[in-house]
Amino acid sequence: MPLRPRIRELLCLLALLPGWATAEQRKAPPEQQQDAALVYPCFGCHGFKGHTQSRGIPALDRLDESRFMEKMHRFQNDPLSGSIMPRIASGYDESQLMRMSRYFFQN
Amino acid sequence: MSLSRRRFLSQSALLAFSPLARGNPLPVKGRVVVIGGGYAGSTACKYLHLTAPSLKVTLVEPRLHYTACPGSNAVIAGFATMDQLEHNYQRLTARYNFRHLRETAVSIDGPGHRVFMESGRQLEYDRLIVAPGVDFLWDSLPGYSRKLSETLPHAWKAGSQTQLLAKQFQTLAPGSNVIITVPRAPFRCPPGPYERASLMAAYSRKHNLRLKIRILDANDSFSKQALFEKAWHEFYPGSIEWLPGRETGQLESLQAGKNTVHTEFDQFSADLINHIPPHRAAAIARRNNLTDATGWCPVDPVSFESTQQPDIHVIGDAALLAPMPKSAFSANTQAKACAVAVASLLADSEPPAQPLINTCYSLLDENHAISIASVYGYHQGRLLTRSSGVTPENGDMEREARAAYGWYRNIHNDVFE
Repeated sequence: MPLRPRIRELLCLLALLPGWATAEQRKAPPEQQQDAALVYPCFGCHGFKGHTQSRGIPALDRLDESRFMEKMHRFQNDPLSGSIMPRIASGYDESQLMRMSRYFFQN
Repeated sequence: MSLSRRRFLSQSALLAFSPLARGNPLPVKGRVVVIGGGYAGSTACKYLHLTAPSLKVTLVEPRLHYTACPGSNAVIAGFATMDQLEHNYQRLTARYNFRHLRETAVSIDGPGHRVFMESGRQLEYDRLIVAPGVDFLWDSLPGYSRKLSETLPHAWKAGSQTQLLAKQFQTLAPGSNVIITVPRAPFRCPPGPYERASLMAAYSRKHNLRLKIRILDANDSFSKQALFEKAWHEFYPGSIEWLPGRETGQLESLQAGKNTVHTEFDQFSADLINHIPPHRAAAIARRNNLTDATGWCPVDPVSFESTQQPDIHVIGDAALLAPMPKSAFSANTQAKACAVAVASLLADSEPPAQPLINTCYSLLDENHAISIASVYGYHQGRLLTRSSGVTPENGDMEREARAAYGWYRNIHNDVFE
């Protein structure tokens, strides 16, 4: 009788194994891909690679690392310092902002 | 000291081929098929190439051009033209090295990793991205039908429907009544019906038509509500009336011959009825076990892989990705994350879980706009809102309008160029 729950446990484990093994085999994404994925949403407003096609929205590709951080901190601290950027900047933490600035600076 | 031309060219060339300047592409091979060439599908094709240029990417899309929904309300209100909504795929396919197969995908063999076309042709894939958009529930309102939409346009998919509604609207006599019906959420472009009402009122004001616009809403609240209502009061006093479902009851029938709609508690007549039918995920998703009981496609919010079928990813309006709204920007941002996820999975890497953004501008007239912007992140595998907000009450709506036009130019640069 005590064997039956054990068999059930074993079957459950076996059923979970393929998915678990696949996830275990996967590597962490390369840092560059993570940074790219972090920055890509910005291009929807600022144009591909941050190269704006409109005077209504500033370019990102002309910023340097420190200017980018300075602007993002200002957006985070002053709700009237921009149009939509104060609302967006507050959704990112400091390490994410630093990685974004690194992406723009290096690319 | 200035850089010599030769030195500048040699350094530029080095930079262009350095891994950092190319975004360090993943050296992964595989076949990816993308169904649907809207904001989601087109963006996915482009960013798949940028992330992993060795991938063999095929876009399955019968149309030669894409007609954008954003901006279509401005066409109805007479200050934008249809050609401003048109975007072709030629530049994309040439620059980002993918194939545009002008066919209609009709079925998917998930275990066999194959997609079948209407013509009988089939394509094999390692990963499939499904971005088919929405279909309408034609039979959800007695008296309304797909056939009737040819004379009573919804204009909720841009193209001939937009042109027809623009023509009907712009030839209304002074003092006419307009009804816009809004389906129960979720539907694509949540602020869209209210922008449409605003721009119709702007047209009426400009041409001194004294139109009365009623919005029969299946919902009891709506996107950017306080801002819209304040603007209607200030810009168009007495012109726009919003009637929530709790007051009128839900729509019960439409009598096209009498230009009348019946609700549970009332009936309304108008010279022009713009009925926006309820939506669900497009047929290809429904017929191939990608949708659940909601009519939408449940997906993992990091990889966008279907929770019902492995190796198939769903993005854009068809996907169940609340709290993200069904918008062009959501589709664009999901597609980029999905492209990186698909390339990562093919390289046996975990998909990165980075924040997603949605931004949406709504025009109040040609020179004023309001916006909503949100950032989404993850907690215990679920998508949640990290920050969100609308234009501040004392915000500069002219600046918002300039940003709205800038956004329109830039998102199409990001998606189609």
